[in-house]
Amino acid sequence: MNVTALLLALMVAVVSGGTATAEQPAATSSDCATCHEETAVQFAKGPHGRAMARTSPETLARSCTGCHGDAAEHLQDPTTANIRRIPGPEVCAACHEKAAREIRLLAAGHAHGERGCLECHASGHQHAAERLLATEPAALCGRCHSRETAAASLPFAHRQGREPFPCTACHSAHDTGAIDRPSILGVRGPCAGCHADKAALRVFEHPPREASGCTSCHAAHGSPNARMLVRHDPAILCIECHANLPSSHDLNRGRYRACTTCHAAIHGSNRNSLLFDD
Amino acid sequence: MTAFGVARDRDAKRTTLLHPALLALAVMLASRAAADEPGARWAGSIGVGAVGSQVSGSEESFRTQHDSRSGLSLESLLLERRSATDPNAGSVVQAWGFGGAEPSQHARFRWSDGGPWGLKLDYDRRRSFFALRDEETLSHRRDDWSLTSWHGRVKWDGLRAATVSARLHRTTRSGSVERPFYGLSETYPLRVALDDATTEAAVRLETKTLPVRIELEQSWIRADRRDRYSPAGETAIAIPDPDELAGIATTRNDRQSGPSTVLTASGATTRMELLASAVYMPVSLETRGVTATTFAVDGGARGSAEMVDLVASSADRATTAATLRLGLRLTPSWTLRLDADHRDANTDGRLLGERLLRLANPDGPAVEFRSPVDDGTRFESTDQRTQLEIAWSRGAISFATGGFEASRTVRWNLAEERETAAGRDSTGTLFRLGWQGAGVSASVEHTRGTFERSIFRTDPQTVDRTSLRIRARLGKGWEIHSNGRFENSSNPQAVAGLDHDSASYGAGLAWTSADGGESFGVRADSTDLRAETGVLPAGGATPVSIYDLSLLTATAYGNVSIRGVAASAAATRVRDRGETWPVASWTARARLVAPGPRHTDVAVFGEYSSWDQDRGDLDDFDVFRYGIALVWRFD
Repeated sequence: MNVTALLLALMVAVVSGGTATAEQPAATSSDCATCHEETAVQFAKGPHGRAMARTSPETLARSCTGCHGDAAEHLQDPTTANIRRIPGPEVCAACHEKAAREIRLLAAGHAHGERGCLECHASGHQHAAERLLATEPAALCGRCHSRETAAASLPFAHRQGREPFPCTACHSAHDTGAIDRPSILGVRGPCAGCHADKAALRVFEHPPREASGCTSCHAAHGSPNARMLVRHDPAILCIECHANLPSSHDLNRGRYRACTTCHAAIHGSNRNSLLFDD
Repeated sequence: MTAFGVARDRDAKRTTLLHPALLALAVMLASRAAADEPGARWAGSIGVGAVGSQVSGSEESFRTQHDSRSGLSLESLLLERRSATDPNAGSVVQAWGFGGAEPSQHARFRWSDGGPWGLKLDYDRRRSFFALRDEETLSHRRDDWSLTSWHGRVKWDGLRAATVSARLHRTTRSGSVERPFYGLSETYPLRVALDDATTEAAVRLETKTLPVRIELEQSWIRADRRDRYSPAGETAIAIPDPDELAGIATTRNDRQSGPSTVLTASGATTRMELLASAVYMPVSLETRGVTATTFAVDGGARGSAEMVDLVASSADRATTAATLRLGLRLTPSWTLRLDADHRDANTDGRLLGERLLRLANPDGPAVEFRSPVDDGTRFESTDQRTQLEIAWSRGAISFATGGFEASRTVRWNLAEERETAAGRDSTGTLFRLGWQGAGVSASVEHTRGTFERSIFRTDPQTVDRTSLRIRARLGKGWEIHSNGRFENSSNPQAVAGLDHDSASYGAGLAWTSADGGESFGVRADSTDLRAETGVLPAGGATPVSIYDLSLLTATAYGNVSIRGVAASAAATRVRDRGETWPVASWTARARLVAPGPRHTDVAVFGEYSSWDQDRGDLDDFDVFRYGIALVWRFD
């Protein structure tokens, strides 16, 4: 038995050693740098390269083939036909598993068709903005969402001082939590993250459930109207739903066209059904 | 505050002090910048304006509607500081409206250390105005008060599992109201000096890592009302009467206080979304003090009648409310939504004291009649509503239908009496159809509610509501939007013959440039309202009260930049063609901003307001306001 086991082990060693001897060694980044020297240097300096170097030197050495695939044939015959020139999303997903799962499930618009990770992210070969984005977030999002990014320049928009909010202040391209998820109930979207006091559930709610939450009155990306309202005249906005007013509200008088002068708790109240106070 | 006199306007004094305090804060912060950490970035702007006005017609009527005045104005103050080492750390100060020319003033302060700490402070003050002409006797009401609100919130996000915040809110109202007061079978003018204050403190916990997000807020509130009365005139308002209001005063103080607990839970998966909240508010109410009213009968020739109210009251009111919203995505196309609300308010009250009537004859001794009061009351109202909705969507089309059921029950009794109850149930259906295609969205919704029984004779028994919305992006920045809302509520002739019809509809066209720097829009809206209510008959045929309003509103607005000069303008025309009180009005504003030397902008602006009644011209006005502002930018 012992002799049999020894012979089997010897056979395995010979076969694997022979196989190993017969295999070509995997290409390393040093091999690729023979032709792509500048690219390899830039990659090593970039966030992907630095992260890989922190893991281990061997990981950095495999950085090129990790995204571009096996380079054995390419090393012998360097053409674009025998190498994966532009990696697809499945390559990124090998490391960025969580992001890939979320984007497929919940931000499907960003995962449709040919729109892969490299539509928004840089590979690490060249200079990139924060989070390895291909360019600044506003310009990046504006490639497809030009109307929304232009709205940030309207007179009334979300700003910190004079700087407009970045898109990622409210939206996550990958979806990182329930707040960004398309709401089944149609209320309490990303606004609640900062405006918790406005979006909180209250005993006497406003806007009511048949309205679409905050966006029934506010243009979230920007508006030419004060308070980012969707109508220039706030009274017209209120009258869209509340035309059936008591006769004591003489709508042709300016006093009764400034609704929030009295109905101050316009986002809801725990104490007063007419939203007179909070 | 004097016991029987006019309240000192403490709010006005605070505001007077606040303006230089804010400016001092701005200067201090600006000078602090010089000694700030190296590399800290300061930026901001300050705009100061002067406003004048030219009035023809009734200036008081103009102030009743708009209350915009002449004088200096702090148009805008913005001061922003960003840390050199952390772009997320810094503070922002904003203020606008101060100076007296505008009816409201606002200030904001935001601070963040770039880490877990954040601070928000808000100040808002607005005037409420309803100053009729001195000769106007139609409604005999005049408002001249201001509401001031302070709101502070500090947030700490240093825990991995939760965010903690604390909030302090104080609102005060001061000024005066004049309104009719009923005594000795006539109405007399009463002036109420207002002194109301509400203070609320709260702590809040929001979880971050639990699968179900929990928000718990515990607050304490105290509201005090110390209004004081005085006569605004001696003689009766409507009909000449020899009896005069010789005096009225009160030392009455009202106080409400109590805790409030709000618990909210929300969670979502790809197939389900849940929102639930519960509120519990036990509040104590207490009123103590004396109110005394004195009439000079026949001008004093026949003596005087004095009514003294020495009744103190107290009450405990407990409010509980719960809300549940549940959404289930049954399939990619089918969704089920459930909404349920329950609200119960229970008040136990007590009255203890006496009411005194003292009659004094000029020739003889006074006679007193005392009426002791010792009573308890109980009042409870319970509201419930449940709505179930099923929705289907595929591609551009969506459809939803459902029904709702609601009830209101009101119970009350005095201590010695048996409980009386009244209830009102309602059921209803809803229907919604929507279409959302490439740049176009449209929806129509109809709800019908029917109510059993009326608690008040003007309660409707049937309400029909239809809403329409259309929004279309036409490309190259163009957009059209249109909406309509049609509502009818009615009850049978045997109740009040209520027939309340309203129709509000409008359409608009808007354009925004590709970079968002320019935009304009036009919109026309029509609001028709006709309310007919049967008045309680005094004999013979039942008269009908009719209120008829037919408003046509047209608005145009825009902003554009030409060779560095920014122009913005808006104009609104309102025409009431109804039968009750037809009137036409204009409101227009225009503003030009041009860059000046040394990081300044110079703005000139003009506003026009007019009011033209068809029947009479006592309240008509034409007002032109104009002004200039200088904005200095620094960074």
